Amino acid sequence: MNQSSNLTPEALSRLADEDLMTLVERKDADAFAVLYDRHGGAAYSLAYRIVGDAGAAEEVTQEAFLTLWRSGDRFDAARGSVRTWTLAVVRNRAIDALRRGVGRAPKLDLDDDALLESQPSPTLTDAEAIRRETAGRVRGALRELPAEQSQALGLAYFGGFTHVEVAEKLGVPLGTVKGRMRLGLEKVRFALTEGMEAEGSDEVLP
Amino acid sequence: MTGDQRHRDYDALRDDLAAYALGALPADEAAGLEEHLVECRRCRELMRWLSPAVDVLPAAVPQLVPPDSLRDSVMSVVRRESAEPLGGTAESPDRVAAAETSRPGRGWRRWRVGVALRPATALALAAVLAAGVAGGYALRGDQGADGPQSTFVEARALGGNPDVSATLERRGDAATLHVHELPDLPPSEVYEVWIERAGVMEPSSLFVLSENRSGVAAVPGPLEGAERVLVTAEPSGGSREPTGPPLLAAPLH
Repeated sequence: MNQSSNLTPEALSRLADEDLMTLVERKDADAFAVLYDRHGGAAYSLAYRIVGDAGAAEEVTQEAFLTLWRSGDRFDAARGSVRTWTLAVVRNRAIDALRRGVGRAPKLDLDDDALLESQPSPTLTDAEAIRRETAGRVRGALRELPAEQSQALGLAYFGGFTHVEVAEKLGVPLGTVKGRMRLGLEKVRFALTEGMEAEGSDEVLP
Repeated sequence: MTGDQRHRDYDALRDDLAAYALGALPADEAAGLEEHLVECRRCRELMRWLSPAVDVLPAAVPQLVPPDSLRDSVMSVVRRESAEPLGGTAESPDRVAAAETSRPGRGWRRWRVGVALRPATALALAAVLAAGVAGGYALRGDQGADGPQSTFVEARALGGNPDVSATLERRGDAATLHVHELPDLPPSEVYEVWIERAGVMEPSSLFVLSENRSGVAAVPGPLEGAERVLVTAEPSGGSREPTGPPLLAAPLH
């Protein structure tokens, strides 16, 4: 039962993610291929960062994309972009894999930019040059964080630990860990705002 | 939710919201905070403000090229299932979705999903959650042999209208801008595309919307050395310099 939109690959590649998701809900495999090509690299990269192992990262990425394929009807553009949704599913799956003991131990530090840069990697891409500005800003903000704040952020987001687990791991009070997470995250957020200010945004902390 | 909890110290709440945004609250605490979020506009606004910081964390990791075998393996399952009758997949969407939303410690994602069940807050939050950080992506296509490849950049909506979206398709030194959900203009106005180069706005092309509030605009080059492509609303006939605020912007590099 072919559910294809009958659009050419060229025409599909011109569609916005949200329009492609509409086709994916109708089980259009060609539309899904376009989404994979747009977001597969970011998904795989995030999975690799979390599980630290190429084979496990592939498994996680595949699971996540098949989830998107099978439950694309749950996507609601009003609640965020396709990419954000995709990466959230990837993170969930990757952390589940970590907890199952798949892949290497989670990396405990985010305090050293060299660690971000120096991971043994299959192949670095330059295909996402457009994202570099945002990526550079985020990395810059993380680099400037006090080590204990970036460590708390990294353990939570890339390690999948709860604040209680992070506190135990680091041997510091829970309240201290929560404060570090908040300060670190707020600084990343302010770094994004600074980037937007140049483009006329007037965001302020509520 | 007790009165004590509801009136928890704002700093403590801010700490909890950050942990929640990072997916680092244990399930029971996350559930309590979700209830609070439904009631507390101030915390919802803080959550809206904070979320993009979490959304961009994946951008900080080194970007890798996944092996082609991964694409093959994903697409072979997808093509097989696309050939099956709808609803005939081994893993039903409901089950998958339930699995995605029932895990502990993923509070803020569940909160996003939970919003749909609460119409009173859904409207306010729709705008909240559409807020994100614009980015771009390059399409790895097969069209390389026929000329320059297309590169796609998601434009950022400016001026506080979260419904606006646009994609700039750059091919060689020219581009096509695909816009969605721009507001309808009075008959005396048109949309105008601008190329920003060294801080100077150069007029490019004019366009109007189709019935579904979408539009496609040609952006003839040269784009080399330019910073951004922007769109404003202008008096019909267009302007030589923008007279209105930019409604969206697509970075060129």
